[in-house]
Amino acid sequence: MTASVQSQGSQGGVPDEGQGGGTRDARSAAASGKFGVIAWLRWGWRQLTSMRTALVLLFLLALASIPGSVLPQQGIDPAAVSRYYAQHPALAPVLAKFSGFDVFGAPWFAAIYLLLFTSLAGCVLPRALRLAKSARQAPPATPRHLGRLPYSAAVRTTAGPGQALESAAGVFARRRFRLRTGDGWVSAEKGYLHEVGNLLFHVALLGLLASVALGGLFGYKANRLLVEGDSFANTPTALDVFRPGRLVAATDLQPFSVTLRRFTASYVQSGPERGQPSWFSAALRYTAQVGGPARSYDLRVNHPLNVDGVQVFLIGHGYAPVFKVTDGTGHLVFDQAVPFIPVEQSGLTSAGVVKVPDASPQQLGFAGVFLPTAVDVGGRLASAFPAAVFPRVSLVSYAGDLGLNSGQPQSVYDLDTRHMHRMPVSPAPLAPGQSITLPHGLGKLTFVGYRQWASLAITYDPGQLPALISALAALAGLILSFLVRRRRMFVRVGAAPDGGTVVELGGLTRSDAAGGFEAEFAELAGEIRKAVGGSAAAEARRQPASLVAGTAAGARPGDPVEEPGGEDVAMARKGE
Amino acid sequence: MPNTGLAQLSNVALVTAIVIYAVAMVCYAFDFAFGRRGTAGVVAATAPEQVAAGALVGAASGADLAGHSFPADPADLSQLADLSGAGTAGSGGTSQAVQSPWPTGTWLRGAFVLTCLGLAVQVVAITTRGLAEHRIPWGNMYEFIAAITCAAVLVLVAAAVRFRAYFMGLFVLLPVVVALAVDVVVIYTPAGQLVPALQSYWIAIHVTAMIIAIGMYIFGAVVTVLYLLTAGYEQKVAAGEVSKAAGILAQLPGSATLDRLAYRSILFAFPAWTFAVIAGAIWADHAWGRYWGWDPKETWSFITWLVYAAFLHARATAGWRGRRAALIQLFGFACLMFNLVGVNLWVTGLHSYAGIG
Amino acid sequence: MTRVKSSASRTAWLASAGRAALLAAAVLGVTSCSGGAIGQDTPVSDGQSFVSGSYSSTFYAAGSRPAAPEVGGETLTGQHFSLAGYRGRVVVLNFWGSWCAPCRSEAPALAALSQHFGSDQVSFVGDDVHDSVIAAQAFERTFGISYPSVNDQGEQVALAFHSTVPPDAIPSTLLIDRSGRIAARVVGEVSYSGLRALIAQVLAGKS
Repeated sequence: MTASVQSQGSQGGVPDEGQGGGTRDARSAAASGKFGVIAWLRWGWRQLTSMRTALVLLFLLALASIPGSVLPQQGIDPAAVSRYYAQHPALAPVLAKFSGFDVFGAPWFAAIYLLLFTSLAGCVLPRALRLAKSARQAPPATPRHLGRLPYSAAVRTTAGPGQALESAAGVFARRRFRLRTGDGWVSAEKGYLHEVGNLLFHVALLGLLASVALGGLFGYKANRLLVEGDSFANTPTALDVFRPGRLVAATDLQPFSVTLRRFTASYVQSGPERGQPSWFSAALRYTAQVGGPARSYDLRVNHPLNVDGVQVFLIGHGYAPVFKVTDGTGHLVFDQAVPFIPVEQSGLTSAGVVKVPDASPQQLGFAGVFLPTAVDVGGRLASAFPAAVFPRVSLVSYAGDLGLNSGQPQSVYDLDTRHMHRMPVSPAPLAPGQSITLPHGLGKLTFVGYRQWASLAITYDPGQLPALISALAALAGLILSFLVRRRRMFVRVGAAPDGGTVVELGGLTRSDAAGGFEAEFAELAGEIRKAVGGSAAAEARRQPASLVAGTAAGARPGDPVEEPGGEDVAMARKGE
Repeated sequence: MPNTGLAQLSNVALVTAIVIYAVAMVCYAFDFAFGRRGTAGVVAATAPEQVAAGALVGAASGADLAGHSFPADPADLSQLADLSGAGTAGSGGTSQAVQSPWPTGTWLRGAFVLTCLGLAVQVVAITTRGLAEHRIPWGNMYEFIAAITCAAVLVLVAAAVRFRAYFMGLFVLLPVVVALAVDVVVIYTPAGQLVPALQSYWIAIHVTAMIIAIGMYIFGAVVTVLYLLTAGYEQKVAAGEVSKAAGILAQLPGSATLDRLAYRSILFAFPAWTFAVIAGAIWADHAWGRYWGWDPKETWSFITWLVYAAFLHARATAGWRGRRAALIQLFGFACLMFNLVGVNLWVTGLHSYAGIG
Repeated sequence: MTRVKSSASRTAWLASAGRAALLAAAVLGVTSCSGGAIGQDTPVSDGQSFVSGSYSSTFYAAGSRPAAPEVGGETLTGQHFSLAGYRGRVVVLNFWGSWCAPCRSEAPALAALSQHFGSDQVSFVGDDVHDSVIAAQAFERTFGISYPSVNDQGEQVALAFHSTVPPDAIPSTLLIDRSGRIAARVVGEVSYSGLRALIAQVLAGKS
């Protein structure tokens, strides 16, 4: 029994996988008397690089990605994460412990894809070596019974056997098959590009991973909200959000500067899409180096600025109403545009906060909304159109302690009113030029006008180009492996019972993913018939086989099988 | 401003297409009920018969193949033959099988003609919509569904001609008609402009590739469902539980053919999907500054890609082919549908261009 | 299709899944060791809509100090400013904004320290970024800041330090020695005693 299992394993294309491998290891280990660590490691490695493990890991990775799309993610929408905390106060910390809000940076997620790539590398590299080796070997000998092959045909000819064989070989040579001749037979093989494509695809995936890592280590992302007329330089002091890669220091930032001269937005005026934006344009002026020449650029969505290897994108816009605040002592303590953030898209109603920490005798704070086209809808204020046709501002006023002097950093868009008291001033909408006068001589706020702001995303990713190349290489490999079929053709000549020569043809295909080998076989049979000058002794025959789980004799469940377009471990393992 | 006349024409054309498809479906059904089956169609997964015209030297009969243990011939490994289409009947077929690529039977012919006509009308609907809006006509959910159903029917027609898979007509048109009906009644959005984020030539590349890939995936999913039904039916037949001639399933090609056809669909669809995802990444980098940000739609595209990759790996693993692989493919299709519908409607992200709600 | 589900194959399947899980656990242990000291030092945003750094202080020994760039500009009161004009004195260059809470918290310490040292020995200069002149001047009034601040709304002065010792966050403080070389950097809020000790250290140094 032992002998037959092992002999079947060595010939029937059965790989040393799963049980087979384990059993063989166990047997040899038992024979040698020890069942050591090496044997376990080898077994573990075989498990990892097996197709089944790859399947499991692919599913695991897919499953692991699901929470990352359903739960709000910190890196994508921190505000949504805060809202989730507010809505699920008990559940949120538990989820956070398992990196529920940073799934794709979670260690367990990394473990899955690292394992998958290890499995991939462990499978691909030996196969690449095997391919290199088998590419140098000659095709196998022609089998005795060509009729058993899936594709077979016979041709009768009056030519001599040697001549017939030469003509047949000539047909293959013209089609650039690799040939091997023997006594009365010819064996031809073609289609190595299939495996090349397969390996290229998987190796390119490794390249993709490396590119992502490169970007993650040396790249950075930043955001900056810029009001019309303002400038900023690419330094951490200027950025609203700065997410550097692990190996990025502030000295690595490219030293460009940008001024937003003017922001223009155009909206659909009428029709069913009234209010929908038509286009945006941010007129920029920028310098690539400190003190370098200034250039102009029209920044639009889908039209980023490329400066010194860094890309600047237009990702948002809004309004920044301008306020002047005079405090209780009569000093002008505030005179600037304050960015308000849109809370809805159809009318661009925007919310914001004005903090006046240096007002005397009390610090002042104001919170409210800016309405580009203010209308009264049943007693409530709303904005009917996103362009600033009828701009109004409605603010609630506070005085007290803003909490800024304590040193605890605050968001510039949040007003902490815990130590402030609300002023009994009506939040009636202000038109440009109108003011709120605070009671007790605490000061006065004037709504001067408005400007617009644009928010820019700044990204630097050195892995971007390598990632693109890897992705395209993967695609090329994929298409190649699906299109090319690896096939073998055999010719055997023999004497016909009634004189003349019988030329037998046999064909075998291993990776007929896109189909069509039948047609190719028919073509070859026809050419060979013409070449040897014969007539068909038998019609070209095709033997459909039963697709019973595609098992070769002796194969066990879990073993890879030859599949058109699929992995070909069995064949590879046989060193062919 | 969109051209209202053309927009109206587009709406009418789409409804007309639905009607034509519905009539075609009736014709397909009649074909199953009344059409003569003959040799075109049934290839059961049993041992093939051998063609006469002279025995090959040393040939063995085809019945040897199943379960045969081969002699030590290193080249005797492949078990699979090419089963291109149902037309090569159970007679073991000649490789030069002279089979007409066109359908046989009046009902089937009529149904196919109607399918092609409906497709043409749907194309007109989409084109006029694009002309009305002066842009590529896939910018919101309504247009997208119209496009992917069109792609599915296009794949149906192509597969029917190339693989003689005319029997698929009824089964593909059913979800197409349902989807289009929902699209027109519930999801309809009037012709309009694209938001600035979509104003790029990339929409012609990325979204078009997605549409083509999804059309192929739809076709593959329908075939897979048929495969599962047929495989189950064949098991019952083998166990002697059901009479051979009962129902539509008996008239379909064997499960082996369907399995092959489903696999072929994915072989085309998977590279198309890969390309579509890559194109999306390039566009994302161009528009948002990063080629991959785990936006929900990106994540679900990735999940879909992984599951279909698992399907391809399963096809190469013994014990995982057949029913298990088919289920994996359907799971992948479910992820795709969630990506299309669920992510657009329930999960907001940078990709929320559905134009709904 | 053969549906042979032998118990042996199921065991093998479970075993492989188990191995995978074990390996996953092993990798997990490795990946969760978050390294990257450099990464830790670089301040990242924490949703506060400006980059605030956690406190860190770096002192450069006399021999290895990068030269401060030639920076100049206008002060908040419109006067001309040039760093080169401060050669011979230690300069405390503090990057701040009136809206920034830690800047407000450290302002009293800076105001007091600026009075503590004689202006012929140590000069304090502020660099006001991302702010408005009116609000900045109001800030100076509130905290009694008498030393000048550069009106650096476009962060050009901060940018000038990008290749040497950049101010990594708001607030940051750079100490420049008498020869115009960068002697120290503090990222984050300074304390009175901490900054005083640092200034003394730079004063005592060779150059």
